[in-house]
Amino acid sequence: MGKLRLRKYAQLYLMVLPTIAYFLIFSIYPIIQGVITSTQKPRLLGGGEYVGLANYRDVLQDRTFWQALTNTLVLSGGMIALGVIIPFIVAIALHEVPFAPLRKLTQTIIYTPHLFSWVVVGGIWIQVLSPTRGLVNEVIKLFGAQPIHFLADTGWIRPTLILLNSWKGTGYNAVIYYAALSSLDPQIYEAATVDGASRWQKITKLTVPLLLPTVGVVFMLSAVGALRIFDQVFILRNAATTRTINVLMTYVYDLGMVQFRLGMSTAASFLVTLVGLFTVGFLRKAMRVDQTDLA
Amino acid sequence: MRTRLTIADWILSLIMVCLILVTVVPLLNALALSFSSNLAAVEPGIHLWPKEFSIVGYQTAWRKLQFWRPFMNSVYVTAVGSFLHMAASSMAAYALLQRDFPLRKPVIWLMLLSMTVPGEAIMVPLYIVNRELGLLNTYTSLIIAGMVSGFTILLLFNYFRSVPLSLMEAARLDGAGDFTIFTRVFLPVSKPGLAAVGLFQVVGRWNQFREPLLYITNKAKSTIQIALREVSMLSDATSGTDVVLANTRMAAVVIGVSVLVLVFPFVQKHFIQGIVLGATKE
Repeated sequence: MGKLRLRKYAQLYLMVLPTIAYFLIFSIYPIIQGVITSTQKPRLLGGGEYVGLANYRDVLQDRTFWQALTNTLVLSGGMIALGVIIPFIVAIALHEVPFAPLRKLTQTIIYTPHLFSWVVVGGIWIQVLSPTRGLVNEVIKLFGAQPIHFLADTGWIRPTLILLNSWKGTGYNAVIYYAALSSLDPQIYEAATVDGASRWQKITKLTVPLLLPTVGVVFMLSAVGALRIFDQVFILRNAATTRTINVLMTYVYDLGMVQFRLGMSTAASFLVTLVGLFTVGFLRKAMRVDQTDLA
Repeated sequence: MRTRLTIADWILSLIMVCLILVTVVPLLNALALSFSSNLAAVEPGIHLWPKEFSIVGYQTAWRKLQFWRPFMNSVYVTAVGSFLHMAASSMAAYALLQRDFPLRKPVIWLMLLSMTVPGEAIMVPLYIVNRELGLLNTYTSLIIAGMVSGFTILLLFNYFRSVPLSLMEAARLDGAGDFTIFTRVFLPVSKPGLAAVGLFQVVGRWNQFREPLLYITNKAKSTIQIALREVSMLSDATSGTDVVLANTRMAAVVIGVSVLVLVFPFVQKHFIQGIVLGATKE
């Protein structure tokens, strides 16, 4: 015990105790518990029976899993693409707009939906997109067209989800881009003006190249979240659309919490995590986003 | 200063106005409906301003649907959870600052591991842990969820690092213990960092959805987001028959963001620093 120097560090031990306890009980233990559960099938009399990798095999042979994987890739692909591109353009527009108050106002307003939960965003848009008295369909009817069942039509639900994601997240990503832009040295622009560069040249030759490193950051942040999509799908899915938009995390939830097939559910979540870690690690390497060093 | 506005400037301004409208119109629609009377709420047409101004939607949501209960539950869970999160994480950040503290390495190791495995991945195991600990249907389960985060520890660690070591040494020579140095020297210096963490926590915990969905089945203990989801689902988008009228549903939405409105003015200010730290340090 001499090595731990309890007397000298007594207070520090107390201060770090909640953190260690939390990580051990709610992070490490669930991982171990999960690995064990994923290799077991429940016995009739309680407890579990070791079945090796059977649960993993069951997941890989489950058509719903592949359906969920496909949906996840399609949805997250669309969400990442829009999440990287639209805010990029918005940030440049913010940077270029000549009135500071208008810029500030726009920034504040488009950022706001990011703070809302998906339940709130869902609640608002279920109303706005309602086929009977929703705002959007009232406008469509003004033009004499048939109302669209955005949230119930299998052809519309995916684009709708992707666009809602954009509605909620554009401001957030735009602020990340904009932060990178506003940290740039204004002298570069002044020098370009002196050299007779036009506004368009300044955007394409200065702003865009200077923003490109941030595209990597935004892409990483969106890609990390991609496999974790849950709330929006869980909230907006219904009997008609569930097969079109069910994602990996709702698949895990349904298996575990609805069907109580805990082994298969945890096996699925570990498969997803492994794929996720592999993808993120690969992207990190590829884009050289450096890890933290605490030194 | 003399500036000449070009066509490009007008187009840019127009883009800004469009961005604002796309964001605001759905919100305005919800707000207008929430303040409409029962009759006006079911009328077809474009609602951007309350027709027949009325608070009957709020009364129905608050009393008849008993939104006061999940609202109070969420206020409690958010307040206690945010406070404990800040306390635990800042103490850990302080401990990590002490280079010769024997548990420094193990804590960093635990922290990085927890940051690698996303919470979603251990959703079901976490449910089992809570069940084993008898925490299902308790506020404690919601408060403990995310009580410490590596992200927060790193953010505060970076603030703490700006404190000159000589200050710490001086305090120590004066006979101050670690906890005193922490509360008297480090916490005051990192007020902006703590404020940022506190705001993120309040927003995150008020919006907490998956945890109550998993851990809480007792309706008396459910939280605002769960209650709001149930009410939103009662409007069936496919059939068009509204079980709960639009004014009540939108009033529920407004109640669902009400607490966030209180923190809005401060969030933007602290947001950029959080993002910059988060993006580079994650």
